[in-house]
Amino acid sequence: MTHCDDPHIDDLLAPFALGACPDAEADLVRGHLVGCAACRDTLAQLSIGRDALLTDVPDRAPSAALKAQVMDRVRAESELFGAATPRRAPAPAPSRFGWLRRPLPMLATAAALLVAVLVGVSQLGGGDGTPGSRTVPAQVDTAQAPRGSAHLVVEGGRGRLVVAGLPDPGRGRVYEVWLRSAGGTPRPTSALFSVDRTGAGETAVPGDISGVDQVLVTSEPSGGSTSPSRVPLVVATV
Amino acid sequence: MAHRPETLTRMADEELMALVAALDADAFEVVYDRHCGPAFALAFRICGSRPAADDVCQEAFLAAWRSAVRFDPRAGSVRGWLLTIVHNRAIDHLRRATRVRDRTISDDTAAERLAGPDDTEASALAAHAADEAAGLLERLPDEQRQVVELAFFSGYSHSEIAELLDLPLGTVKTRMRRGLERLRNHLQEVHG
Repeated sequence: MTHCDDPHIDDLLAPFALGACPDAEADLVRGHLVGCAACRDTLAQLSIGRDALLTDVPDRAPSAALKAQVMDRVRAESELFGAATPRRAPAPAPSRFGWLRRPLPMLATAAALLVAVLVGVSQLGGGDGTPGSRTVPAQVDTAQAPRGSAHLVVEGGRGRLVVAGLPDPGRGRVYEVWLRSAGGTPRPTSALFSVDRTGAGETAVPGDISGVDQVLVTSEPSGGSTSPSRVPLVVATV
Repeated sequence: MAHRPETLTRMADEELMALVAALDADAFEVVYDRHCGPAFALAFRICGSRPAADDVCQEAFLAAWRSAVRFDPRAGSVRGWLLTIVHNRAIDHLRRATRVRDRTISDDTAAERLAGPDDTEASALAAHAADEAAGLLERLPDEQRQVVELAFFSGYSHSEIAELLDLPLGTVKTRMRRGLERLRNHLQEVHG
C-alpha cells in the first residue's frame, strides 16, 4: 500500500467523492489523481459508499411521456446521423419528402429538427459563379441553429462549405467537418472552423469528395474529435 | 448486423452500449427501460418534484445517448455511469433553482428545503422520500448523515455546509470521510 504525502489532497478526497468541492478544488484533485495511485485507491474505497447512495432512494415511476420525449429525440438524431439500424423496415427509395410518411410524433420532431435551407438553387449550373461548379443546399438542425443556413460548393471533386447564422461553438470548442460514404460511420477531417460574430464561416473540405455521400458538421472540443460527440448541426447530401 | 428486439433485451448492458455508441436507437431504448426507474427515483429524490425530475432525466438520458462512445466498461457499470450523469444533472438543476430562490436554509432536513412552497404534493412526497431513503443513511450517526446528505442529495459544498451548520471546515471534511468509510464498511459486512 502506497501513501500520499499531500495531506491537503487527502483531506479533500471525501468531499470530492460527494461532489462537495468547488470547481477549482475539484480540478486540483483530478490533476493530483492522475499521478497518485494512493489517492486513487483511497477514492475508490470512499466511492463504494457514495455509489450505493445513488440507488438508496425510494422507488418512483417515471411517466410514459418522459420515455416518449426521450425516444422521439433519440430516434430523430439516429436517423439524422444516418445510422438507422438495419432492423427497421427496409428504407424506401430515397426521397426528399420521405419523412412525410412517418408517424405523426416523428413528423413533428423531424419538422422541428430539420429545415432544408435552400441556398443558391437559382444558381443551377453556376454554383458560386464559377463555371462547372454546383451548389448543394444543406440541412441545418434548427434546434441548435434556429437562424442557420449552409451550403456546399462542389467543383471538380473539391468541396467548400459555407455557413451563416450558426451559433458560436462555445469556449474551448470548434466546428468539425466529417465525411460519410456508403452509409458508413462519419470519418473525421482536418477541417476545423469557427464562425464570426454574425455566425458566418467557410472552410474547404479536405480531399476529393467524389465518393462522399454526406458532409456533416458537429461541435467538438478544440483540436477536434475522432468520432462525433454531438448530433450534427449541418448535413449536406452531396 | 440486425438485432431483433427480443435479442436486444437478452443482451448485457455493456453489449447494448456498444450498439448505442453506433447510434442504435433500439438498443438505447432497452437501456432506457432497464434504468429509467432508478434514474427517475434519484432525480426525484434530489429535485423534489416530478416536473424537475422529468427535465433532469430527459437531459441525462440524452446526454448518455450522445456520449455513449465515451462509456468505458472498465470504469464501472452502465447503471453507475447513468446514475452519475443523473446525479450531476440533478445537482446542477438544484443549484440553479436554489440560486434563484436565494437559498435560505434554516432547518436540518433536506426534504423540507427542497420542496417548493407552491407544490404541496411535491412537498409531501419529498418529505416521504427523505424518510424512505433513510436505509443506508440511517446507518450513520446523525452528524455524519447530515453532512453526507447535504452534500450528496442537496448539492452543498463543504464550505457551505460548514457555514450552514456553524462548524469548522475541517470537522465537516472529517465527518464526510468517516461517513463514507462507515457506509463502505457496512456494505462490506452485508455483502461479504
